[in-house]
Amino acid sequence: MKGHLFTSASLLGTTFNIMVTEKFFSTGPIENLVKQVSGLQSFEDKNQDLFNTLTEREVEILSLIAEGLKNPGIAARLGISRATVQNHRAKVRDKLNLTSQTDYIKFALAYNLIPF
Amino acid sequence: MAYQTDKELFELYEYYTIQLEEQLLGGEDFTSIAKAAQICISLNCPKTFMHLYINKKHVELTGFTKEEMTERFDEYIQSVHPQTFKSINEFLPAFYETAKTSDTLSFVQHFKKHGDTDFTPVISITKPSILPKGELLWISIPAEKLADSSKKMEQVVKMDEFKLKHFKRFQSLTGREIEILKLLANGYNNPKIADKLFLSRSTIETHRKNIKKKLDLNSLRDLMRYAFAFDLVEV
Repeated sequence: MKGHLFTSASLLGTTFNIMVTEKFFSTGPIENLVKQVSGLQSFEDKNQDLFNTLTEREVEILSLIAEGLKNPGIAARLGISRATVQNHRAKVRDKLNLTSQTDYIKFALAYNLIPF
Repeated sequence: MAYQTDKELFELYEYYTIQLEEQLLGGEDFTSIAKAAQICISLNCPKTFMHLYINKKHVELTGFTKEEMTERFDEYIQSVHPQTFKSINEFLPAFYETAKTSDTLSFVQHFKKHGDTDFTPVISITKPSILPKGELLWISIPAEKLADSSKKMEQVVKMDEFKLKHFKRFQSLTGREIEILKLLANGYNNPKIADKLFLSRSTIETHRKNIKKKLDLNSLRDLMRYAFAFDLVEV
């Protein structure tokens, strides 16, 4: 028994042919979205120990980075110096072994720190 | 219900759908097996998808009995979002026709719950019929019910909305651009992408600019939204 994954071109085509109206909601099959979201959930489970090592402040910084704020923006938002932000950022990066900017977003989404 | 992840929860519901249909095939009466169920169950006409039978939970959620649906049809129709009707008629016939009877399909419907003025997302699961008259079994669970256990289902619904809103833009990408978008979403930078695809860095840069323009991206966050909604992230 297996959920239907809509990766085949023909069915994907069917989904994509839906007309766009001004305001719309539902699309088509959501299996691939469930797959992505389940991936985030496994990611969350797998990294729980690492994530637990973050301080509250570091979680805050992680969320803001994921939101797309740069150091000066974060400094202004939190009322701290840029150097302090830089320190926190480095701590977050090292603690979570982040290698790219996309990792911040993945973490923030997996731990529900930012909305999709 | 004990489960670990949303995926497992989904698989449980898929399994449940299959089991339920087998019970019906075995000659069990719809009302007796669906009565106690805590989720919405309906048997639908294979041609029009209109409900032939619905269970108590379905009546509670929609506020319409089977008779009232017929009597106050216009009113009932209003409670389902027009896009939901449209989408369903677009992809379901193809699914029922081409999928195996062991396959299931999940999708999001939006409708107004009994007494509500706003539309609310509901996750529905169906499968191609094995029943003698071809009746189609649908089970539905309000997304908020699933989201009780985690915020993840909320993300599925939001991704679904994003996907429909942006599929035209996404469709305008070339295969190469999608390939590069995928690499970017998975943490590759320009030099790494250039190495992987045997292209020059300046070519990658041009592709990136085109992707940015076509998808109207302002940030990496925007890029990641596309990547998740279109199943490009390796998680």
